[in-house]
Amino acid sequence: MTPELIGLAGLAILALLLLLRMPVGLSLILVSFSGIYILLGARPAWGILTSVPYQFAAKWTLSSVPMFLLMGYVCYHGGMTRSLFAAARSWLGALPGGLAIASVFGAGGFAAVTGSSVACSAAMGRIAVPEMTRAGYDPGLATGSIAAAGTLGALIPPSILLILFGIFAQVPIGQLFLAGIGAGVLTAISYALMIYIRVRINPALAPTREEPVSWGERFTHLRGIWPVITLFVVVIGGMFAGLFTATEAGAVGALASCIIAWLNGGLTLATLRQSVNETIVTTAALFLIAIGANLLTRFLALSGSGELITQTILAFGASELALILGIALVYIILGMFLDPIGAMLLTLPVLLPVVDEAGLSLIWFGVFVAKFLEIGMITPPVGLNVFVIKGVVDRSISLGTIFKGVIWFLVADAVVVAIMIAFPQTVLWLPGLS
Amino acid sequence: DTLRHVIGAAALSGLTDGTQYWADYIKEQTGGETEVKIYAGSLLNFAETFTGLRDGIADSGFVVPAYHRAELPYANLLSDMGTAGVDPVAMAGAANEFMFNCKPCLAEFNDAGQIFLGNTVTGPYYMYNQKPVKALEDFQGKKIRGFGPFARWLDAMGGSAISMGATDIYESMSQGHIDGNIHTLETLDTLSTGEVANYALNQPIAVFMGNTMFNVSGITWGTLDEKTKRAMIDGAAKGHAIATIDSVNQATSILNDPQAHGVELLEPEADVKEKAEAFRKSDMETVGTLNRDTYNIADAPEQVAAFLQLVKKWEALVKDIDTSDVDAVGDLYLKEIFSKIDPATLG
Amino acid sequence: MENLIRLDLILTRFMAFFAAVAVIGMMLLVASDAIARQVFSARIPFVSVIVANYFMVAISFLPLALAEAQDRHISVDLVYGHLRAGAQRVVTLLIHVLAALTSAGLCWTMWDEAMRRFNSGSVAVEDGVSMAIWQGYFLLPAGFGMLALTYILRIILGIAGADEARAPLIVDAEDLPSETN
Ligand code: NA
Ligand code: NA
Repeated sequence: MTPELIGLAGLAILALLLLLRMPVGLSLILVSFSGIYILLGARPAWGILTSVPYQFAAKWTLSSVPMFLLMGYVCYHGGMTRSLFAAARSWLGALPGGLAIASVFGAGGFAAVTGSSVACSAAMGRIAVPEMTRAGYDPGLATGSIAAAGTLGALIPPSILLILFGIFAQVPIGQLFLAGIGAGVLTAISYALMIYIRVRINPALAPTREEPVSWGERFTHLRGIWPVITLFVVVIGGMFAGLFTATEAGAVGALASCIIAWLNGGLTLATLRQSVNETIVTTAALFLIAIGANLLTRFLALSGSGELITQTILAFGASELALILGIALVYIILGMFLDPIGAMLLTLPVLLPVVDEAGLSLIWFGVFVAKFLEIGMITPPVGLNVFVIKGVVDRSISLGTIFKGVIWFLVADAVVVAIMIAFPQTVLWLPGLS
Repeated sequence: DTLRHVIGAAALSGLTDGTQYWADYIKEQTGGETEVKIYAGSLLNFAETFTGLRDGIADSGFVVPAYHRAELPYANLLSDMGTAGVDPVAMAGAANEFMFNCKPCLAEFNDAGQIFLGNTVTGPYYMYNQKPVKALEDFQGKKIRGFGPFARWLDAMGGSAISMGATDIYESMSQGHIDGNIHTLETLDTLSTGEVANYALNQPIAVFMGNTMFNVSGITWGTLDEKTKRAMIDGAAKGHAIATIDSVNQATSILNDPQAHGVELLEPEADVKEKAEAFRKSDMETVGTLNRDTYNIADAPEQVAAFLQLVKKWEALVKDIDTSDVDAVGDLYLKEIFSKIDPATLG
Repeated sequence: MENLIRLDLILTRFMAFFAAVAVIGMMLLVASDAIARQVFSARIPFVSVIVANYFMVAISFLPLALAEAQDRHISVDLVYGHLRAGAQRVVTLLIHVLAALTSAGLCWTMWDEAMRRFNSGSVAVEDGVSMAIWQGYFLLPAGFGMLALTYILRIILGIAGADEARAPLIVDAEDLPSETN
């Protein structure tokens, strides 16, 4: 068996274990370890298994993940994110599918205070999904819209993915952030439009139409979101004013959310305990998967099958458009299995020279890559955002239901990607101004 | 055979070019029997490469001794001696001659399951800032990123040194968390810091001797034939030359046209020049006592003295050649150091 | 059986407690450092070293067993749900054995690494000052070991035919979003 075949066989066995309901993180670890064992022998396999978990987790920059998760949970238990959603709801709720549209824009607001799409889906999922379920929304639409809207977290700045791309590709991070705003807003609008059109065609998806809310009440709701605005100003304002770094912003945001919730009467010992419990359990579960995906990245690199997939597809790329579509296909396939950072590390060494040669803007390409990596967050079988939603919603909603609900958002994503390719200035306009 | 060579990150310009030459040389010398495939950024990161070589995950790789001070005290002593000279080409000659003639230096790598094949020297390092810093009083209250010799230099100048990974510099500077950075000038482009820095000080501080680029796994070394070992050792000579000279060229071209890289070049005031000179004179003694007292190298002061002799020797040696010519420099490294290495003594 | 489950949960909660302390500690330490820098122009030494090598490691690995006890490890139920009850029981037992072996293997190799780090006395260096970081390496075998014990408990429960083999061992009623209103 050639190394490439061993790699592909590993992916097949991984799919089987996942279908038999083996926890995703442990499946990834087991398959990667066994694959490396077959390729290189016992000592390298044990060696890589030993070094990756600590190296992955013991990172200063990664500390913003549990901190932003804690901030999200405290906001949730303190009723703050609820007010954000309520305000979006009062303005948009009366539209067909209004609650889902409101959640998309609520997530867009939350994206501006979080760097990861996982944290964004977790925070919005806990609030908006129960509301939509209560209003009789189709469970697929309710959960799918949050899983997809969560991806705004990594497009709208701050964004951990764009920071890593900038460092890797030697592209200014500030410019990437500005470009990310274009892609994020475009994505939010297309999701909202897609929900609107779908519900217009099939009203049964979102049976309850909310009563129109008076303008006075709408502005009252706006006043109700002062805690969120305060938090936003503290976190984003503090970051851009140079008071603290993006990594520290997580801890400052978490502490600020505790203080604000406490002032608001939303923080008790019980809610704090609950928030901390959810933070540690979610962090451990997610990092275990990320560690597994990290190991899988190395297994695929060693077997050469990651490169094989990449090269095969790039072989089609004669014209610029064919190249872009080829790269898109690479990310769609890798995104099915890998975590976004793993997929990025695996491909950029091969793709960057090709993209540079073709004369494409690396800022545009960074956002393009981030967009596809985020699409990978909601595609089966490994879709981290979907897993997060599954973790925070009622047990009766199955993973299959959420993945089915995501399909229509993938269609909207296809439109966004087409616009980004046809009109690169949708992304490059803002960075061009600075 | 195809060997796996790892570099912890992609796109390191000159360092990657030097590695590519090394790989090509090995293939050529072995008549294509041994190929070296480079995994840049995909298999192991810099911190993992150390144990990765021990376990045979990679056959060879780029180790950064600064991450492993407890395990590699001598390699870190060498890094500390960056103030011994400012010409990276001469310093690389001295550094490699020092390491290959120092038994405990080679042994500490062997103990970690790897074979040391030399050091690439980069630099010199310069300071760049957001606000103009060119007189001693400008250093007051400034927080600047720097480690090892660069941190000690900052301390001498009256600034305060902050250590952080290279990947955090851009963000920290743009948010005013730090005022400046001491690094190779090419990082103005490679780390995009040219966007956030406005001034560079035309004062070379020290060179960086912490790039151990061609370490070979002890497991792999035992399986290689003599021809391949020879090719690995000899190829390292020009590999180091390419990477070192590239670093010098980058610095020169940036000093010639600083505006294109986002900074204005400031000439240091007399008090800074004086202080820098005084620092350079006293720093090697500091290095000796620091490494003896803190890092338990009993003969550190003697090692420092020996290294200073080698620096003199190499400053004289490189006078006779064109130090921007990779062939000339590579040949000199080969003749003086690498061709004399007996593979049997390495592992 | 009851006692076995209770013992497992006591140990699980004991470990998770340290992760909870680490979350709060990390928030306070990092935020204080940021505030101290702005207000007093002072820095707390070793913040990033402590956060990375102690807090992050504790938060990432000590709650692994708690996540399993609360059934919060993410898994895919596309096909599993369509299996007959007997088949489900066999598949569950098989998966629990694989999961126990994987986490036990991780525990074993991490223990080895922790002892190696302990013997070499791994340190991090900041501004010329060293700080020992080998302690954090012991949190990995602790976390994976506890996870392995929990899967072994599930195997025993599965062989005995107990329903708890597949159910959450901690039913956290207030955790369900639908009940928080
Ligand atoms: Na964001
Ligand atoms: Na996916």
